[in-house]
Amino acid sequence: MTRRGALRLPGISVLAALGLLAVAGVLAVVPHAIAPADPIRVDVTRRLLPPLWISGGSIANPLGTDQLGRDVLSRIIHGTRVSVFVAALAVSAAGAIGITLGVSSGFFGGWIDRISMRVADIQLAFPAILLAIALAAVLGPGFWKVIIVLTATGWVNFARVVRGAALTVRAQEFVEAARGIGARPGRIVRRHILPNLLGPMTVIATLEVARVIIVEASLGFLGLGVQPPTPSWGNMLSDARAYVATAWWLPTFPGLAIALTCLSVNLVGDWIRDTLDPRLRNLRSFDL
Amino acid sequence: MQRFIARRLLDAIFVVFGVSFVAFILVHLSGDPVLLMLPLDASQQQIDEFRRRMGFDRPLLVQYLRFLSGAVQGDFGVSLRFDQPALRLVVERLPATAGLALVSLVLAAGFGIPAGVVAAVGRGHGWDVIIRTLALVGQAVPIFWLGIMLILLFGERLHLLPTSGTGTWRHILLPAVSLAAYSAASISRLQRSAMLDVLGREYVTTARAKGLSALTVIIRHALRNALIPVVTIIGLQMGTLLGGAIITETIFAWPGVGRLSLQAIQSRDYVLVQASVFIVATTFVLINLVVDILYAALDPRIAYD
Repeated sequence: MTRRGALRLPGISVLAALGLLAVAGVLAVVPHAIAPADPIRVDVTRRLLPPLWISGGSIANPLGTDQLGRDVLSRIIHGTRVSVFVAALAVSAAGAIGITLGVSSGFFGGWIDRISMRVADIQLAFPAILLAIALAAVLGPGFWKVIIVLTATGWVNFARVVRGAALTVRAQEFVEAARGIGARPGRIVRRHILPNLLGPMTVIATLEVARVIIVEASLGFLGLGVQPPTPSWGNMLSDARAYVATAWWLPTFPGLAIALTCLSVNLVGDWIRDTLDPRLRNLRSFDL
Repeated sequence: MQRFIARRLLDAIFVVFGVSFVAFILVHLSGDPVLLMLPLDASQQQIDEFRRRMGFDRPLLVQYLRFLSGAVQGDFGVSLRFDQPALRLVVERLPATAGLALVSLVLAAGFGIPAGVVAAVGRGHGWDVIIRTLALVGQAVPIFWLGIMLILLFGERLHLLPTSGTGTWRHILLPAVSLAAYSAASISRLQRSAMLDVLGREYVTTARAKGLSALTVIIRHALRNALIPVVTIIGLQMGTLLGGAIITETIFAWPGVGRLSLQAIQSRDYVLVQASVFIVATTFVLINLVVDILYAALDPRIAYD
């Protein structure tokens, strides 16, 4: 068995994942330029058409049409927008709050630490999806409400991990040294703590992106997410439930889009973690 | 050890208080809970009367203390939709959820642990690649979509298994598999990395060097130690399973607490929402408390402070 080198180049699967995420990013920004049809245009003469490769399908609707004759491919392309923007905004907001609280708790301790970790304990007592569903039901549906819900349920994961890492870094000698030569706390945090937290922060961020995409889709599926007619992967699957027996393509393709996106995010996340985490590099192999 | 248990118990009690506050305040987050619960065309007189009857005209703190003293006595009020005590509705459905979660947990551990061991032992080879790929897919597929796909395949296409309700052992298969998939993937990944960590230790090399067979070393020396981190996250998986049960139960019409809480949320039955949210979270806190104590009892290396 080979030992891992100091730098791991991305393998073919990671490259494919990065490519897929790049495509998702482009689709999210300019869906109009790429989608073959208008995602909300109803055409009852073309209801429930199967995909291209099934008899009865046509090139005009490569992945078929839904119960209102809307083009499934175009709806998935436009649905990318909701998933990508919700994930980007919610993870950024949750990250900003969680990292600030985590670093303050880990580095300074004191009442910020006690209060934020108590709140985190209480929040973690709820299955996250239950809290998200209840919160979404009370706040009402909609794009920004979904982001608030996902931020409120996501900060705690950042805070926990970052606090733990900050505690470890704080105890190290170079921080002691910096303090010894009279560096102020603000400088120590900026120059010594934060750069050392980059690894855990990146790893938790990728995990959160995948989680947020799935929870957003779950909320959409339950009718608590972005509302129709705006297509999202979740609300497409919600509509598709009634057609499981008659139009298999309706529940299949939006779900594939979610699974492929999350798979790509996880692959990239694992690659980043393996590259950054020195412990994994020192693993010895065991030959039998 | 006793001090450790006492401290964890105090922590848990504090968290349950916090949970009760969150369950209570959820309903008030939108502003006026009365408007959430009544239909849009309710008259002002109906609104006022409902507000008085539910006690929503009292100060928030008074309302919370009433909720809390009710909760301690097992009285969460009467469900608006079912017209029955909320606690009874939830408790009646607990066994169905517990059964589903337990079967899922057994499936997840039963597949995840051996898969992780096989992957670690054959690191870099065929089985490792297959297991790791499956685990990655398992963590990327949303529960509700997996549920729908299982219904599509085993129910609609092959007509092999029932896709909704309860009755025979065959009814639990599809919901349990869709609920277990994510946990099985997580467990196998953790088991693999814990196993790799242990396989590199010197006592394993020693055991091999003194002539013990590979299988003996893997099971007796490596797996025993590599199971410790896995056992801890199995407690955490219960939270994932309880959360996932909300969606799984809804898709498969499984008569448990998850489906009940979603029905309560969707029909704006906030008495029932408070009761089910509080009971689900409290159950989770208790499970974690028990796992923590068991863990400390099983592994003498855990520091009690």
